[in-house]
Formats: sequence, structure tokens, C-alpha cells
Amino acid sequence: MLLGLKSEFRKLLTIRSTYGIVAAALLIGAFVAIDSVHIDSKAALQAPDLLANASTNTIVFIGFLLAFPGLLLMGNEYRYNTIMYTLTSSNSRLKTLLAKVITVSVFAVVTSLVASLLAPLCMILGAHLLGVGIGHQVFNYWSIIWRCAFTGWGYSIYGLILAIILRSQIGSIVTFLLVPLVGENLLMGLLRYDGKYLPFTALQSVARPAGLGSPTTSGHEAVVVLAYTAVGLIVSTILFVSRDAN
Amino acid sequence: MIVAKQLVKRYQKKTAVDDLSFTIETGKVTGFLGPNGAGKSTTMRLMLGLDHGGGITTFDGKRLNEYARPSQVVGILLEAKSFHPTRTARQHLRILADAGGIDAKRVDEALDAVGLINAAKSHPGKFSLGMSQRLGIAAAILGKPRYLILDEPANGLDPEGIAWLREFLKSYADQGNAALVSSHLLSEMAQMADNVVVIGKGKLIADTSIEALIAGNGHSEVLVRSPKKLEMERVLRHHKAAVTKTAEGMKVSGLTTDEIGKLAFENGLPLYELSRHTASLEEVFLELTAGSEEFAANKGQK
Repeated sequence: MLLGLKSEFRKLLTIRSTYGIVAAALLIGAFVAIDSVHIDSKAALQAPDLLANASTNTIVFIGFLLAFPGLLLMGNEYRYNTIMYTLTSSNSRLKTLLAKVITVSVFAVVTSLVASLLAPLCMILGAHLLGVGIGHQVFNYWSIIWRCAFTGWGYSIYGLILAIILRSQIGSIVTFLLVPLVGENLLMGLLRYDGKYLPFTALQSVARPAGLGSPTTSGHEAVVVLAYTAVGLIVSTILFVSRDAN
Repeated sequence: MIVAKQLVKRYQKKTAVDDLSFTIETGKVTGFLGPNGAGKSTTMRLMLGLDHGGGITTFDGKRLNEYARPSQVVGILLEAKSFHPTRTARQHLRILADAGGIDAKRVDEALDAVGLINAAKSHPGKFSLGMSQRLGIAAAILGKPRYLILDEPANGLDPEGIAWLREFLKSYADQGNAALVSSHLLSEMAQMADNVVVIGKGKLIADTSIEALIAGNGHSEVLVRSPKKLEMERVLRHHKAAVTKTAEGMKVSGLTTDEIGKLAFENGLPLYELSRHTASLEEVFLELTAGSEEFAANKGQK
């Protein structure tokens, strides 16, 4: 298991796209944070949860990028047929899959936390550059940390599950982009209030601060996401273990 | 010893591998032969547990997944271009070394062994087919495994590379290891392999040594050239030999060169040529697999 983890981390850290994804996530997060100072009214800048919201809003913006390490870690295996080495290096497909889940999870959580820390710092920098003041801030650290980490993790696991099920890098990326953008938006029109139970909508609602359109608490939405993730992981595990490796 | 027992693989209505059993002996290189679509690659994948199907394969009495570190038991090369194109060759092998619990210093040793040490920092996406094969062989030998399963390893190799592969496999087997090697280069296989497993349409056709295969299936003939053709033919037929006339002389079966030489001497018949012609592995292979080709070309059509 430890050997598998070591190998999976090396796979993740030896492709350029990993660094591209991290750089894009941090840059977009920083830009959104700085730009929001410019857009927000002076009254809004005095809100006590301004910086806390900067963290969680950033994750909503960059979350979809965090699915790509999961999509690529598994998608590359099939695209370049390295799956045969991966599977013949281990004596258990379950261990192999678990190593991938842990690798993707750790990567997503760390990147999410770095981005969510960077966002308020960028906002402070933006305010300083514009010469405007920010009001006294109140932080519920635990709430911010778990919502940001959970959202990033959720996206990465969604990506990994899709790649395992579809076994096609391009197919899983296209599906990943289409489901939240087109599929869920169409379903939202039909389901209205119940649309909050859709996987990507629920995931975004975990990070979205209360009062910004979320009809339920982050905890409720996290349970919905966990249910999707559990079902997805069970299905993908069964397929990964039982299907031919091609 | 690798023992494959009753391997079966079915794709809906098609049976790709049909109750296939054979043994790979240690200390020997075993050639794995069959026409295109015979099921060689599928058999290899079944043996390694990459594909699911019937039957079992044991390596020294244990299934591959019963070993803690399978890549130190079997090294594989199933496709030449199985690597991420933008990782370096060294990174590719480091990943495999990590996964297999193999010492990192083996990476450069393996690259050196296949002549790629100077390309260690290169991206294999730019490698030729021959270089890709060498990287694949480096990956296979990385864990110093007892067994090698190589699918068409000579594809794309230059003559020097093929000669290296032949010598490498022979010395590898001489150290008490074993290799199962599929190839379409039959003349090369005849030089490289000790034993041969021949399959057609997923079924076993032969599992024996190359010598036994040729002796048991090939037609050994003697080429005879004499200025007194008619007399020679009459003498040979009188001694129950089968004679086939050719433009230059005659092909004789049923008598050895010694026997024919003695008959010619006793009858005062001069000989210009008396040579034994043994069937090649290619001739035997074509004879054995006739009718079991999945994708046979239409002979005579251009």
C-alpha cells in the first residue's frame, strides 16, 4: 500500500499538467480575491465575514480545476496504457485504487487549503493597493477549513470516479465539463428546489456561505455529496476490480 | 516454472483463448508463436491477471497476486509505447521502481543494460519504436524478476538491438530464469528460443522444444544431383525412397545421406551434390497453423 502511494504521488508530481493546474487554481483564486475588492462597495468591505467568504468563494471558482488531477491520474493510465504496469506491480487492485483515492484526496485538500489561505491575503493586498479599509473580521476557522477542503476533495473524487468508470481521458474530461455546466443547469430548471440534491450543485453549496443562495446548511449538502461519492466509489471499485485492464 | 492451466477468454460469441494449457520451463527461452489474432497477447494478459477469464497461471506454484511484490517475480513488456510521453525515461522507471518496491539504483542499471543511459533525461514521447522497445525491456528487467513475459520485443529493433536481445535472453535464461517471448520473426525465434508454444485460434497446437517440433513435423529431405539422373532415380526408388524431381536434381525422402551415398558408390553413379535439407521453423509453423489464421491474406491478389 505504501509502495503504491509513493508511486502514485510520483506519477502526480512528474507531469507538467499538475503544476499547471495548481498555478491556474492559485492565480484564478488570487485574481478573484483582488478583483472583488475593486467591485465590492465600501459597505460590503466592512462586513465581518468578508475575508472568510473570500476563502470559500475562491473554492467555488477554482473547484472544477481540482478535478483534473483525479481525471488525469486515472485517465493517463488508460490513454498511455501504463495501467498494465500499475496492476502488475501490485497484488491487489483494491490497494491500487485506494492509493489513487488517497493521493488525489491529499493533493486536492492541500491545494484547496493553500488557495483558501491565499484568497484573503490577496484581498487584503487588493484593499491596500486601492487604499480602502476593511472592517473588523471574524473567522470561524474550523468552518472555513472543512468547507474549503471538502469542496476541493469532492471535485477531485468526482473526477477520479468519472475517469475510472469511463476509462477514457478525453471522454471523462468532456463528461466532467458537460455534467455541471449543461446537465445540472437543465435539471435545475426541472427540479427547482430539489436541484440542491444534484451532485455538483450540492458540492458548490458546501462552500457557498449561508445567505448567498444556499437553502440548506453546508453540513446537509456535504451529506448529499458524501452519498454520491460513496455510491460512485462503490460502482467504480466494482468496475475497476472486475473489468479487463484496457 | 510457469504453469498455465486451462486458460479461457471469451468475448461474447468469440472464444479468443480456448482451454489453453502449457508450461514454461526455467533455464529456457520459450517462443510463443501463432498467426495474427491467434490469442497470444490475450493469453499473456490472462496469465498476468490483466484480463479476466477462466483458468489459472502459477509462477513457481503460486498465483501472481499471492506474491507481495509481483513485479519482482515477472517482468512484462506488452506494448512498446506504454509510458507517459512527457515524463523522462528515468522518471518512468522510478515510478515502476516505487510501485514494485525496487531499489532506485536499479533504474540507471536497467537503462544502462538496454543502452538508454544517455537518454535517461529524454522524454520517451520522442523515442523511435526501437528506443521505446528498449525502454520497455528496461522496465521488464527492473525488478530482476525470475520470469519475463515479452510481447513482440524485437519489433522495431535494429539488427544490433535484435542481436543484443537474443544474447540477453539467452544469458538471462542461463541464470536459471525463464522468458516467454512472442514474435513474428521466426528465423530470429529459431535462434533465440529453446522451446516453443504454438497456438492457433486460441487453441494449443504445440508445446515442445524447437528441435522436436521440426523433427516431428518438418519433412527432412536429401538433395541429390547426379549426371546420371535416370539411373540414380531408379536405384533410389528400388530402395523405397520417395523421389521428387527438381530442375537441378531430385529431392529424396526415406533415405539418409549416408544411405544414398553408399547406394551411389555401389552402383557406380557419380554425385555432384548430396545434402540434407531440414525444414525451417517457418515452414513448420506455416504447416502447423494452416487454416487457423484469423486474418489470412488473399493469395495471388494484388
